[in-house]
Amino acid sequence: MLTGRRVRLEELRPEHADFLYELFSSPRVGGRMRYHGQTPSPDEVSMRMWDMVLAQFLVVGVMSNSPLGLVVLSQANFRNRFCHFAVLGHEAVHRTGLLIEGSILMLTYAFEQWDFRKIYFESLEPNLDSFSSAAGRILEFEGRLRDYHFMDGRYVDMLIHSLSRERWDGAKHALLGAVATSGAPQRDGALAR
Amino acid sequence: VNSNGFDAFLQELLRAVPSVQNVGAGDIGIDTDILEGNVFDSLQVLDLHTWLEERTGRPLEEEDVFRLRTLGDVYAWALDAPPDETRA
Repeated sequence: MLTGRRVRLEELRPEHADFLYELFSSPRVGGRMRYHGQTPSPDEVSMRMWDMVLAQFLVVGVMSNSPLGLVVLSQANFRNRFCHFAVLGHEAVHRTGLLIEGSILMLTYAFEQWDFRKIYFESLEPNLDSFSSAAGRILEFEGRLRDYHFMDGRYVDMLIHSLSRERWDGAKHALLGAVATSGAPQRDGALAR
Repeated sequence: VNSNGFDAFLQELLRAVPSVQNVGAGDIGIDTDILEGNVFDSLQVLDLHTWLEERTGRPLEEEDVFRLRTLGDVYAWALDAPPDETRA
């Protein structure tokens, strides 16, 4: 288990099925990203949960023990040493920083467990608002797929950013300090496992 | 109503949190809508949390971050008071 101050990462278990179905079928969250407006059956969500997944964990509140979201590493390419990262969470969690904390825990896990050179982040342009400061500070812009996806009555671009191991190494101590487990925030804090 | 205190608080936030410096603060003053959008964005919300804890000496727990939706909420938490008692 990976634990930070306010959230921890937990393995998916059968009792999380309802939460995951709600997450993936929500038109504003997983439904938009994975199902593009379709309303999948619980069985379909369950079957596709592990498509191309390398590792995925629930983001769970440390105090509440409530599931808050999901962080995923997928499409791993070990020959060229990269994978893709995604984070999903209900709108109630947005702007709380809790999904960012879960993401930092997951990125730590990814770079510690595998020798990845970089991790890719794909996002539709309207969603960039939710992580623009990360895009400006630690992510590198890699490319834009124009008019890639139809949503809300128009085509929108797909943006591809990446986080290199070098950039992660430069930023991780400050980021981990902000999500460290003990007491007041520690700039050089470490994760507890 | 304590709008002077709120304005001073925002100025302090802008000075103290490097990642949000100069955001929304031009010659016409602070644009709270723009500032709010930037403060609550991904990594900057972590900077905000760290600054709040350092400023108040109080830990910001999981249940607290759900209450911080606006800059007014942040100000109220810093004062340890309900939002409606701090500003109109």
